[in-house]
This record gives sequence, C-alpha cells and structure tokens, in this order.
Amino acid sequence: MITAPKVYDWPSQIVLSSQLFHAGGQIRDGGFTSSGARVGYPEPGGRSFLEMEFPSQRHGPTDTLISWLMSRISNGNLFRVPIGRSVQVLSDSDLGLSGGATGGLLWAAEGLVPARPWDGGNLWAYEPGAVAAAAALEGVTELSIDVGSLPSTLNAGHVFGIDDTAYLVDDIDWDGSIATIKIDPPLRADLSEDDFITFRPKMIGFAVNPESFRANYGSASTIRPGPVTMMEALL
Amino acid sequence: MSLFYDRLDEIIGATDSQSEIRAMVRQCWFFDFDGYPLRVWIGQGKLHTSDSNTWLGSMNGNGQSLLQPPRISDGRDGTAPTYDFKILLVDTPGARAQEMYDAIKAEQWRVNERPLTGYHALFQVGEGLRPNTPLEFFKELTMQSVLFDESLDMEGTSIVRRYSVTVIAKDGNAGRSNVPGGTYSPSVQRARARQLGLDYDDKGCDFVASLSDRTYQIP
Repeated sequence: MITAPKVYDWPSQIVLSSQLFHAGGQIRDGGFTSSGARVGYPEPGGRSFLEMEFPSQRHGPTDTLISWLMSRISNGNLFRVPIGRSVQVLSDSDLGLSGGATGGLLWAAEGLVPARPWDGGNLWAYEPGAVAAAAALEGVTELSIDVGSLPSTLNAGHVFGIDDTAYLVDDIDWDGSIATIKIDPPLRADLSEDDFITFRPKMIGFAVNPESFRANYGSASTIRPGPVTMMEALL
Repeated sequence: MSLFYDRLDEIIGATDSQSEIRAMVRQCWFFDFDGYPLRVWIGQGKLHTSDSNTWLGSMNGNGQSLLQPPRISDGRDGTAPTYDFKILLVDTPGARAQEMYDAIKAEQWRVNERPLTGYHALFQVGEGLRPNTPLEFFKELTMQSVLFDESLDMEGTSIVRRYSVTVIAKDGNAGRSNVPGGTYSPSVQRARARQLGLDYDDKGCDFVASLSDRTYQIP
C-alpha cells in the first residue's frame, strides 16, 4: 500500500511580507583552471527554493498558530505554500483583470451568492490560468500552453504552477495565444493536453532552516517570525 | 563507439576552453534484487532514461547522497576487490525506514549472486531529467551479501536514528584463484557425497587409479 506523506497546508492567517522563488540553483565544484576561475557542473534537475519573510505582528489569535508552526516546520514536515506575495507571479492587472482585489473575484462578477465578502472578510476565490496545448512527459524542460483570451503577458522570470509544483519560466516564445515555455525545475509529473496550468502557484516543500523561524519569538507586544527557506520536496 | 561516447567527444572534442564544456555525467546503479529491482542514480529527482526506466535520485536536500558507491577499480590486474555499497534508508511512501530495514533483513536471499550493474548517464543542456542519450554500461558486479547497521546519533538538538544497509559486491574476478572442482581425492569425494546426502559407503575415488589407461567396451 502506498501512503502519501502528510502535507500540511500553510495557514492562511499567517501573513507573509515577501516571497522569493528560485530554481535550478545547484552546482557542484568542477575543478581548477589555470586562471583560477571557479568551474561548476550544473546539477541535472535540481530543486526549487522559496524564501519567505514575515511582518511583525501583534500578539493575538495567530500566536498559537505561530507556536504550532514553530514545531511543525521542523523535522522536515511538508507544507503546501501558496506563492502570492511576490512580483514573480502574474498579477491581476497584468492579466487585464482590473478591479479585482488580491486573492478574490472581481466584484463586477454577476450571480455571486452571497454578493458580498464572506463573514471572515475573504472574497470569492478564483484562479486565473491556462491549459496545456500539448502533452509533455515527466522530466522534460519544455512545454506549451494556451492562455486563451488572456493577454500574453507571461514572461521569462514569472512563476506559474501545475498541481502543487511551481515552475520558473526560463524562456518563453509566444505564437498568438500559444506559448512555448522552457521551465526550471524539470516537469515533475506527466502533463496531458488541456491540463490546467495555474498562475497562482503552490509549492510543497520543507523548511531548511526551521531554527531561523523560531529565533525571534519573544514575549514582547509584537513578534516577528524569522525568515525561512523552503526547499522543494520531491514526492 | 556508442552514441554516449560520440556525444561526449562532440561536447569535449573541439572545445579548448573549459568554460565551454557542458557535459554532465552521472552514475546510475541497478540493483537487481530478486523480485525487487532497484534503480538509483546519483542526483536529485526521478531520472527517466531512453530505455523507459525510472531511476530514483539518491541526493537528499542537504546534498548528501543516500547511496554511497565505492570507487570502482579496473579489474584487468586480476584482483577482485570487495565493493561496499552503503544505502541509507529513509522513510518512503508506503514503507518506514525501519520496516524496509526489517524486510530486507528477513529476505537476504534476494541479494545473493544477483547482478549489480553500473551505468553512466549523459545530460545535455536543456534535457532536464529525461536525457535522450542511451545509458552507457561501465561495470557489472555480483552482489554477495548484505550488512546491516542502525545507529542513534545526536545532531545538534535532535536525535536522529539511521538505518543503513550495505551491499557487498565483487566483480567477475572473484573466485578465480579457486581450483576448479576442488581437490580430487577419495576422502574429499566421500565428504561431498555426505554433503549431498548420499550413502556413507560411497567409494569416492578409490577406483580412479585402477580405472585409468584401460579400454572399455560398452555392450
């Protein structure tokens, strides 16, 4: 019997001040040259990283959540972290979806019940994305997507997601609404034609420096969790 | 020459500046355990090769390889060095490290006399984890036995329990110095007969000398 490891969802109440996604960053030392230059072998595949920073927050209901996180984030537990607080993700205005609030559906939309934010203040969730224009096999670094009626604003350096994996656009070539993308890291699962590709990526990872997260915890009136780096978990 | 070496020559060949060389070669090891073939490559993530096999990446997030292959030496001098392949077991989906450790320990016969084959994989720029150059064979060993080790280590403030399995393998030179068939004498033959469960009255080689240099006619 195959049981998947437990993956915790990042608690949405723990607000992030910034996120930085980077991928394919590993090399191994390769050797010497007569001029003394450092030579590195790029590591095939590699993993992606997500660096996260947190704002100061007053003591309140999130205290216990932070306490829970401080324990859970260690020992290599897996977290599914949404990547939103970053300019690396296509914003609504980039996509021409003006008037929307961050993380919620535009209020011009018709037929919403209730036609107002939920009691918790959250808006209706929505997820802009594209579909795969062709099938691609696990392990490749190139795929093509069809953005349909959305503008072709996806650029090299943007981050998008497929399922729970985030990919960096290494290079992109537009042809109408179809884009051929070189990605980093390599595709982690087989992709079929018409599979959904989200512009609101998530990443499953584990903290490489959990002690940094709990370093600043104190009994003062505000606390600020330390920055933490998540490393992609290869499931 | 195989495609592997052709490509490697192409990549290295005419280039005289080291910064232009972009060849990535990694080891792949195929442990052909009876009923449980295990393919591991020294790298991160799942590798898909052109023979449609999937190889598990041995590097964990700390850049540490969970499989530590020994240095392979050239067998042409006739020696048969012992190679130890140490595998650190980790919790994988479906099997905790301890369960896997116990299972391997209970079924050690799956290792005996099974082949262990080493290959090289060549990665070109932009190929990701699906290189299209076929793997290049470089070594075949025979697995002989396994050793088990578990330890409890203190690392900083946390206690880490480690389970490791070491596969012992030899190359084709193993056993070359043994006399084929062993010594041939009446007492040795009788000992062999006993091992085979035959009668104690086996005559062994008692007649061998007297049977020599004779002509027999088969009726």
